[in-house]
Amino acid sequence: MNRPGIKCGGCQAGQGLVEFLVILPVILVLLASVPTLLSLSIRPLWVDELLYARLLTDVESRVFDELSRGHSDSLLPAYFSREDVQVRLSRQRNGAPGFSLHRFHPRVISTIEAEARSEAIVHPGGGKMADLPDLPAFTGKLGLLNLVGFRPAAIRDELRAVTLGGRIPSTLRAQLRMLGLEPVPLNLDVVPEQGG
Amino acid sequence: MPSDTGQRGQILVLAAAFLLLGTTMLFSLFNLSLTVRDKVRLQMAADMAVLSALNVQANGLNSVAMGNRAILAHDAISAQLNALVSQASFYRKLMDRFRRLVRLIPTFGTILSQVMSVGGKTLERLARGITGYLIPAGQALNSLLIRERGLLLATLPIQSLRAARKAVELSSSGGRIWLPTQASLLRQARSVVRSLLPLKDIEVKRLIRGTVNPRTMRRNWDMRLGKLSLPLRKRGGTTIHPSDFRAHDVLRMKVLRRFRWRWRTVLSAESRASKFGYRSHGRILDMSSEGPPLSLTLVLKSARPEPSGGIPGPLPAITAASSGEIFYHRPGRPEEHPNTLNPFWRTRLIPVSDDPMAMRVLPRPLLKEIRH
Repeated sequence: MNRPGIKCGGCQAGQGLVEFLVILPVILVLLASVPTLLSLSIRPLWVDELLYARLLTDVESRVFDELSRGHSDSLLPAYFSREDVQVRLSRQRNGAPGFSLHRFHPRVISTIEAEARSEAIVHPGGGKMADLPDLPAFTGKLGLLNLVGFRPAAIRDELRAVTLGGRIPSTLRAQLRMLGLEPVPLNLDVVPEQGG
Repeated sequence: MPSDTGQRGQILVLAAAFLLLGTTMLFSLFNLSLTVRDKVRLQMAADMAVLSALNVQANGLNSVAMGNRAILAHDAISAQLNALVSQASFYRKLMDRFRRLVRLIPTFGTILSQVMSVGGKTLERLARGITGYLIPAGQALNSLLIRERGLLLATLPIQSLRAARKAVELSSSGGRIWLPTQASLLRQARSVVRSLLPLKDIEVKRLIRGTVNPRTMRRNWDMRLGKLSLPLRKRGGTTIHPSDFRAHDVLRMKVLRRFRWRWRTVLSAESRASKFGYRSHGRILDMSSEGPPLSLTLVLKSARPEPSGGIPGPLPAITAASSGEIFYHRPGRPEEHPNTLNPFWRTRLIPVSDDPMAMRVLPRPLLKEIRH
């Protein structure tokens, strides 16, 4: 007869059997899978999957948002609008690093305002671009982003700086213009035939 | 019969096992977040590298375009100045003819005739002087521009690579550009350079004709008295020869000859640009019709530093791939075909799967990994 609080030998044997057949194998399987789980968790493949599925922490999801936008509309704005740039009149090295193209580009387009505007963008998750920690700066660092593409209105000025028409005295230029001669001839609509 | 004290220890084994499992999972989660951060940074570095390399090339193409426009402008100035000389010579000759009539005016006739003579000669001398100075100066500038362009194009591949490396270095992601993609970057930049070929003469002539002012190409007038057309007309213009400009101005009068009205040249003037030091039309480069590969893919690999709080041990390298392209877009005229006469080359990032070269360059596991 069983008294309350005291288990019978048969019940304890059953408990041991359950532990032996179910719990211990589960624990063993879990322990054995630790290295596998660990190696999978640090594999870049998983990272990509998680990035794709957006299963990330808050800050990193914001970074990802920025990154995904970057693929459709570049993180590095290659062509700024008129409002985004300041044009400073100074001769400075441009083009590729270590290679001067000042003859072609006597002006420097500063992206300070564009950077400031970009950093002030408020992300959907809250916070601003400027608040994100340790992100690589994406504009203005290389000086390579300047002058990619011209505004049509600026081309005549650029051309004047590199051609003969811009180097002759302004009085002579005015007189040539009076005679019907254009000192800086330019017609952007004249382009080679396609495939010519 | 087992005691209660003996049963209490059972849960300790289970708790220890689950604690070990939990801790491992926690650390792996921490490692995962570090990997994610590194991956995101490496991806941004890859994007920067691709755009920087392409920006150098786009800047190069824009510089070539500006150089082409400058060369074309110098040719157009030479044609205009040559036309000016022809016109000045024509009007000097015309004044010489009129001088004979002016002399017949009493009192002031002689003085006026002298003024016309001196004025006409001065005008012509001035035109010849300016032309004789500006045409050689334009030619010298042309050859300078061509040399500078040569230097720019010769260094473009290596400058693109340098820019990409600099971008990676500045992004401080610890990544390196994978060597095969460095080689493909150099190949792609070299094919962009090689695709720039000199335009045919007929095309250059068309471009010059479209750039000079209309008065240079055609300078015609007719004498009219109200609606009545007088039998006197002037014809003038410029013809573009393979290495020269010929400007001419001719005055014609209708005369009756052999019972028919015919136009007879009574005055003519001519000028050739080659007499003022003009050697040839500038070499204008344009992109060949086949077009170079304008897209580029770079792969960055980074050996991850050991995380301070994570599980110790070697960690696999992370990889990031990014593609971009150079494209031509003229604001307000999206239909204009890509050319190197206008500096409207720009860059943008594109999905890696859109770059046909990426399929050849990237290793298969990485291609499987990329999801765009």
